[in-house]
Parts: sequence; structure tokens; C-alpha cells
Amino acid sequence: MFNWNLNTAARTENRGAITASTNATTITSGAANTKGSYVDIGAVTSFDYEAISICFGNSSTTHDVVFDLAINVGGNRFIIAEDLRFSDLKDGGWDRYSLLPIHVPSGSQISIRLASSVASATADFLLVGHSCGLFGAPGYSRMVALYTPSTSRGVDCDPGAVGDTKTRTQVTASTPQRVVALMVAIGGGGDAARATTDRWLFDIEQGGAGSEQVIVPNIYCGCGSVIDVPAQTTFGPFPCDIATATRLSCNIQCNVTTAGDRVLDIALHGFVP
Amino acid sequence: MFNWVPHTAARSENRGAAAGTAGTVITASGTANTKGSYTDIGSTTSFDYEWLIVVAGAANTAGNYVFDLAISVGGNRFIIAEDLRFCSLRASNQQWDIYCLPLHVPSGSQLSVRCAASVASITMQVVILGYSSGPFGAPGYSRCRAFYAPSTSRGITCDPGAVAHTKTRTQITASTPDRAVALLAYVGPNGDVAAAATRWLFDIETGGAGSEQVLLPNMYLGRGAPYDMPTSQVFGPYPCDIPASSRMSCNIQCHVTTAGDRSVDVALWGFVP
Repeated sequence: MFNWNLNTAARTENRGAITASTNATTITSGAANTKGSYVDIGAVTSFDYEAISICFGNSSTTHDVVFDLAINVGGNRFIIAEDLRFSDLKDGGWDRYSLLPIHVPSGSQISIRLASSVASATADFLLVGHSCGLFGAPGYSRMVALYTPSTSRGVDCDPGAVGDTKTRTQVTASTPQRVVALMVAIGGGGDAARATTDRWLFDIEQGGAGSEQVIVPNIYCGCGSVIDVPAQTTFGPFPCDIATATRLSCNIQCNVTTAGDRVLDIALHGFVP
Repeated sequence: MFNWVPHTAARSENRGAAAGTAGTVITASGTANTKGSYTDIGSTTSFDYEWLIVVAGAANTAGNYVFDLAISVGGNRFIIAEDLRFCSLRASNQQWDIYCLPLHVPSGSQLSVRCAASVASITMQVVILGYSSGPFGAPGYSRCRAFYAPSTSRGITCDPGAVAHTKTRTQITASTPDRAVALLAYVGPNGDVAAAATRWLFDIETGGAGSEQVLLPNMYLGRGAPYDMPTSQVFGPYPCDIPASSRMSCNIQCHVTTAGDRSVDVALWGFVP
């Protein structure tokens, strides 16, 4: 699977765009916080992908979303990226995962299913496949969720009632696989009516309680009182090497102390070699 | 410079995070659309970086920004990423933009940033995370060149035209200054932050007029009320191989035909090996 390709020969193709209506492929959720059915994203892939870009938006309602990206080869469906986040709590959210380093064999049918905090809600998705990653790198085998979604969002991380002071929240007690790159997604923590401007600095850490080590130091994000939720919500990938069965946590501080307003939800994903 | 580093030993450090849950404040020149003075981002780097995460946010006034990221080694300053875009045009303290930059920064470098803005003397904040390797242990490229000439501190205006769902092409640059092996794009609202919901599909292309070849096919972007501008505006980096002196263009369609609302501004950058 780990085939290096010269990016002098980099190829791309789009799956899911609907040019006739300037749109992408619509996916519908099931009951609230329950995954709906898979929807195919365009035709089968025409070459091996070593990286994927996913663009999404145009929701039918304001909602939190988690979605699975799967491939179907020879009649068997495999999830290659699970519980990716789309935070669209205020109307008009659009986001993307740029260049997820994941291998997709030629001839695969890519499909997506989603769960939403609102029953039978929709969002639109398309993807671009790349024949190599940066520096001609191959893709990893898959991307696993390093958190358990709750009400279609990440793990709520509350900086606490003391401003500008970090508070730690466990995101997962035990990672399911060794991972060698980390993605971080943030959401509004269910709050889309913030009173003022919020700024956060947060660390992503690994290790047991009391012996955490920082992997990603002081990521900076924030939002104002127009959309009340962070605008750009995906961070990474970050290179790392996290062993199986590792505890991960988020140590976060905020400039405001208002309950609710100060909370972000955090989702972590890891790439499996 | 191209040293592969096993990411089993990946290290990271933060530069620029400040007290008060803030980043380092960068002040634009007293003249609109003119670069101000450089501001150091934290202390010198303590190891070689091969991957940078650059976060721009917390604008004190609504505005368009372009900024240079430079390093100073041995008393000489070099720009390693030029005219990066940051758009917080809708409101102050609302937008945060995050760049993943595969760039090499030698140990002992002083990182610094200067910016120009559409409004004189306004400020933005910057935080930088440095990594000892990229994903797959990849080294960083030498620098990131702008493939556009900023105008009023934003990108090149791309108007899809008065026919919905039909692409219109705009040249972004007549001739790229260097060979590039990774491409980065930014799509902003082109000065319009009072628009109805809008969706775009756009291609980034290379080649002479009439013989353009698509590098990035049908990237998807949109906006809605109440924010009135795209929430997530950074695309990439994406693998490619673009010779020096290439013409670059954007071929874009929109689902609305209202003049102003349908236009975006596009900025491109290339990573030089």
C-alpha cells in the first residue's frame, strides 16, 4: 500500500460535484444522532488515491454533524475515516478537510453517511482525490476516531470559571490503534449564542492522569458575536507517534468565564500506518 | 535541507501564545495596504522545523490583511511565506484562519511577521506551532511564494458572471516566479459581506489562455447568513508540480447571479522545493 509517487505526476479528480446546480452530493441523516444510510459520492475512483480532500456545507438546518467516509471494493464496505466532524451550529457553516493522507484503491466506490443533532437533516459533500500526498507521500490505511461522539459532536471541554487558566478534560481513555498523525476538529460545544468575543488556547496531550505530555501546544482559536461559533474548525494533520491504548486529553483555557460560552467540543482523529 | 525525520521522534513547540489567552499582536502600517514593521513571534526556534501551523485571528477591526512570515538567522531576514491572507472583513474578532505550511525553519531562527491591511494601523494576532517533521516524517520545503499580487490587501477578484452555474475564468498570475511542488489557495469574500446564501464550485488551473489544465477540480465553497462570508477560507496545501513561469487561473461558477454577491477574491501560493 505504501507506494511513493513523484508529485511531478500528481493527478486529481473530483467526486460528488453537481455542476448543473453548483452543488455537491446531498447526504441525509437518520433519527437524531443516528447515522443514516450511505450515499455514493460520484463514480468509482479512476486511480489510486494517496490523499483525499473533503469539502462540505449547504446544510438544511443548523446542526452538529459526524460523518463516516467509506469505500466499497469487491462488494465489501470499509470505513476509512470515521466520525469526522462538521460543526454548523449557526447558519452558513462550510468547512473542509484539506488533504487527508489516506490510501484509496483505484476502482473504489466512495460513500458517506452522517448523523446529525437534528433528525433527517442534510448536508452536501464532495471530495477530491490526489494521486500522492505532499512530497509524493503515500496515504495511511485509515483514519480512526479518538473520541466518542455525543449528540453528534465532540467531547465538551470546559476551561472552567477562572479566566486564562487551563483545565484538562479527557478526550479518550484508550486509543484503539497506533497513530502517526493527528487531526483536531473543534465545535461550539452546543452554544451558538455567545455574549462576547471568545479566545481559546488549548493543548492536546497524551499520557495517564497526572503525567500528560503535550503533543500539540497552544492551538489558538476564537470567535466573535456574529456567528458565535469558531469559523475554521479543522486543524492538522499534526505528525506524531501515539501508541495503542494511550489516554488523550485536552487542556484548555479561555478569556471569558461565562458558563456555556467558554466551552468548546473537541474531536480527535488519528491516522493508522 | 531535505532531512527526513522519523516522526516517532516528532517534537513540537509554540511560538507567539501570550498571556490573556492571546497571540502576538501584529500592527499594520499607518498607511492602508502597506506593510508595517516586523514583530518577533516568541523566542528563537529551539530545533529545526519541517512543518508549521500558523494561526491568524483576533482582528481588532474588521478588515482584509496580507502578511509575511520571515525568519532571521545570523542577522539576515528572509521571507519564507509571503502575502498570506487573513480576512476578518465581517467583524472584528470573528475570523480565525489556520495554515498548515510544509516549510523548513532552521534551529535558532527568529520568526517574525509583518502585515498590511485595508484599514490603517489595525491589528491581528498570530500564533505559530513548529514541528520537527511533516506527516510521514517529510521535510519542509524552502519557502512559500505568492502566486498573485495582492490588491487592497486581498486576492484577485474572480467574478463567475451573470449566468448561474456556468464557469468564468480569471487569470490569477501571468507567470509564476518559481517552480512549485505544492499549492495553497485562499478564497475570500472580495469585499462583500452583505450577501445572500451563496455556493461556488471552482477549478484552479495552469497553462496558457485557451489551453488551461485543471489542477484542482471543482472545489466547493459557500456562505450563508448571518456571517455573509465563507467561514473556512484556506484550501490545501495540495501536491502538484508547476514549472516556473506558468500562468495560473481560476475558473469559477456560482448559483446566484447578483453582482458583487457572486464574486470572490482568490490568492494562490506555491511551495518551492
